Amino acid sequence: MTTVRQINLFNPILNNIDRAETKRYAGMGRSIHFPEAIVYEACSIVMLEKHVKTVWTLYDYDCKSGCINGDYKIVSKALLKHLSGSKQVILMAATVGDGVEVASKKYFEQGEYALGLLIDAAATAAVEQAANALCAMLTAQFINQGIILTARFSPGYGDWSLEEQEKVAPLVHVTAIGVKLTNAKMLIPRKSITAVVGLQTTGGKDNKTGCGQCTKKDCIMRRVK
Amino acid sequence: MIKIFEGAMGTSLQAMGIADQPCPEYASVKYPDEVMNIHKAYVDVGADILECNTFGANPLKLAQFGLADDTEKINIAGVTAARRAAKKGVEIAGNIGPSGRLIAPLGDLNFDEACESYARQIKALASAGVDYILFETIIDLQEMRAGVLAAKSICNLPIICQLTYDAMGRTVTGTDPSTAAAILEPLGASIIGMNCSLGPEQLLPLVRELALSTTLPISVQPNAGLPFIKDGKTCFPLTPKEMGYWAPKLVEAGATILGGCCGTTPAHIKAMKEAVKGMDPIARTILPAGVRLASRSKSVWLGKGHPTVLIGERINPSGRKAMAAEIKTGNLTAVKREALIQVEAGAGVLDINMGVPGMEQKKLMGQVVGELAMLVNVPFSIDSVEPEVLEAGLRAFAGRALINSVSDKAGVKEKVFALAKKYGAAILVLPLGEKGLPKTTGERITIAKKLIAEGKAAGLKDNDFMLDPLVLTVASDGQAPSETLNTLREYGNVFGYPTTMGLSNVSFGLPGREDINAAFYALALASGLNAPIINPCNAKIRMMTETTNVLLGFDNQGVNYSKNYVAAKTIPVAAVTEEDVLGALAGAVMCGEKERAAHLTLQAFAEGHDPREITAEALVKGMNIIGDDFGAGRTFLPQVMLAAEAMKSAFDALKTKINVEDLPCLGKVILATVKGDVHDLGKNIVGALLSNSGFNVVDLGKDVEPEVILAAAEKEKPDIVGLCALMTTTLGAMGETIKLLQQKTTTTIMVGGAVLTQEYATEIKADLYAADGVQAVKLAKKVVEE
Repeated sequence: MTTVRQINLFNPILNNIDRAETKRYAGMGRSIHFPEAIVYEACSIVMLEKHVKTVWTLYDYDCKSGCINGDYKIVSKALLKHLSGSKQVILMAATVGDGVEVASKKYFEQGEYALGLLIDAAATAAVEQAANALCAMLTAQFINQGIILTARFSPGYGDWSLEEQEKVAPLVHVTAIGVKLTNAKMLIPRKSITAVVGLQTTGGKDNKTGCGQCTKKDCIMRRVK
Repeated sequence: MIKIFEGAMGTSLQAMGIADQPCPEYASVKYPDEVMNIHKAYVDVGADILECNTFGANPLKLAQFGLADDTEKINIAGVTAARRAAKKGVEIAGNIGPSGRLIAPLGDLNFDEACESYARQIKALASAGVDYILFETIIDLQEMRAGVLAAKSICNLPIICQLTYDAMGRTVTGTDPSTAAAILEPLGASIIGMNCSLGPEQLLPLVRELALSTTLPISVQPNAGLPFIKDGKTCFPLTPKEMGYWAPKLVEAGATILGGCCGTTPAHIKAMKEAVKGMDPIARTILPAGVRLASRSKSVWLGKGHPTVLIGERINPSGRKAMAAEIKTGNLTAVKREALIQVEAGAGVLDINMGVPGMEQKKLMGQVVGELAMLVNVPFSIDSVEPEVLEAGLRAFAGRALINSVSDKAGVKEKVFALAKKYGAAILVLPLGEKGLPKTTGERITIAKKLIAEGKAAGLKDNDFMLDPLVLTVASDGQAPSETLNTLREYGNVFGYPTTMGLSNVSFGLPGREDINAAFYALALASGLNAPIINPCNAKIRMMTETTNVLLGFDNQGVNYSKNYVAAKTIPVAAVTEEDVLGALAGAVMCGEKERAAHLTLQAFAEGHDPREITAEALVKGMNIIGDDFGAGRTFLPQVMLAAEAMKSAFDALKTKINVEDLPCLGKVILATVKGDVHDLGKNIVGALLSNSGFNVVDLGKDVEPEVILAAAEKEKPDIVGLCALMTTTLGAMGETIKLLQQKTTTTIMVGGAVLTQEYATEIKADLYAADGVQAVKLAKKVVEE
């Protein structure tokens, strides 16, 4: 049975964009010689152009059948494992809007390739920060009930196919924050994500997350080799 | 004596099975005796203040259960149950929790709607006869502000403000205890504190921090430790004895009222009561003199004994046509940019003036304050001569703002003082009389005295006032600056309040205004100026601020000054001799030094090097080295792109000297991101690298239909068609495109993109697979060589 759930909106405050993460998303894995001024400029431009929004909805989850809200059945083994022990899940989405993409393109076309590239990376950092801020807010809300949140898990992680975005996006109510899904199952604005977190009791087993646990070994963002 | 609150209500209701019929608060209506008995159990162990079962009884929250219409009934029932349980001397607090929604722009709840919802609940609680209005478990300061404003509009009952902090000592929306005190004390809280989320041990340092930041009593209601779930039930680890152990420590840290939140029982409250028996609140430190302003997450002291604070003046469209025009179109980018730049340049406070002719300033001020508070974390000074514009800004600002300003103008000053009191704002007093500009220090002091007395009569306190000495133009009155400086000194002698002033007026009509302003700034600082309203981006002002901070003892032994000084020094670039100009150019490309690359290219050309030689021996050579380094993991993509930029700037320089046709062209490449895929950064990177390696690139863009790519291939007859796909979901479209191209053309097809692999490229019959942009260039060169 499908029930209509409350759509919750949260627009987190981002007072800065994480420069270290920006560099990582731009492919600069280690501490290297690179003009910090360009990274700084890219982060400043994203600060100006971002429109940060998040949305979340709480759903019941049956870990035996792998069903969210009784109607979305998870097939990803990695996600089933990630949510094992959860009786409820939160589906969420975050976006920083399309202004960042326009800016990245503009600078790239002007021949400022590195700046364009770094704006794109800073926008990725920003959307991750937004999602983290949402998770921090949710953690604080649920901790008094003895409930902790698993890490975020998004379509594209491990074996959770990006194709699933089609089923996930409506459950997340992505349109409430101005996000749409294209025919090719891509989120627009491009700097948007969807994710799920499981609600677990502190007595539950520790579902480790992070690159070391991820089954997608060829991921370009993989931190561990 | 230390007062003791009762312990948890919700967990007791849950244990009795009456917490979800349909919500805990409704138990007061449905099961009044049971609720009364829970209170009574706390009275029996010595609780001094009972908390009504009204935590979620605001109409917004009750609406979730279809009970908004019963708001009054539920609140009155909650108070009645507590009243019935109370013995003589036991007080009752009307308990108010979060509305469950965040206030805009953090969430979708309108500030006025939040105020109205709280006001309705408070009216019911007050009418039922509570002794305190108690806000607890609030996670956002703006929601607390809405609650306090609502309470002040309904009754004169003492207001207790308890926020919930996380393990990092901040609320979910970023407020620390010290900042909370800076905002809530002037706003009208009677008691400030914290509850829930953490146990007593974790709250202890936060209580200490709060005690140093407020003169008000402090209330603390920890959970019985951090919860865990056992056999499907939420459990709290701390025993009554353990809670008793921490109680005296909380008092020693500054708490004056103790209680318990989630997981505490009458046994816990009893243990706490006994543990603090005979204890009195500790004597607290007196707060430093001065005015404290705050944003949601940061507080700033202004005044004697505190470092100079720069109040950024640049968010002011008067006299700035471009900014005003942009604001009129509804675009706030220029305003946001000014905010970021000024804060980065060291502004501790931002002045916001929205005097845009033809705009509804009230609405604009509210919007700008809301949006800028999402961007920067410094407090704001709300700058307007219209009380209703001031109010819009003060209402929207989740902090303690400065009102800029009040002068001796009857009919307006009363409104402005009332606004300062209502919103807990500080106020800048401008000694302007109705008769015009007072020329002498004596006249200015007289007006300031009068205004301050009137402000105090309106309820303001010493730490709410700042003073402006008035700055007049030296070109029209040679003695004006001396009078200003004299006024600053006299302000210090007579009032001791922090001072501020706009400097630049002094030099109006003279040449070299920056120098005069800087000198005047230094003199003013020496005369007691604390917080100039100024352009913090001005290099001279910055230098003057940094140096005077050293000289006035705010930058001990010049440590910060020295650090900044060293960082600002530029490293000289070695001169390039004729012999190594090509080597130097290759180096400039590798290091991504655009200007140097252009300069060296022209130098090489002037020295007689052939464009082909410059390209091969310097530009391509540098690019190749960086490409190899990238392949080996020694450099990274942004560095490669910087090198490409330098190469572009070198080519651009060369094009000013020769015909474009004379530059070597290696071949033609068509690039496109396939149908359905809207990513184009990766493709653009490949395009930039190819075109700066001598290829003619035709970029078809993103989300390109196979037929469009085919048509372009037939028309352009390229050496290579490069296709890009970034998502697994668009790989199919790539396969289709290749199929179509191979049916109709013989062109070489190269593919790439984050999700592609050699295996997949082979499967869809692509001729070449490039793992990255650098490899794409190498493969393309190979194709044209063959």
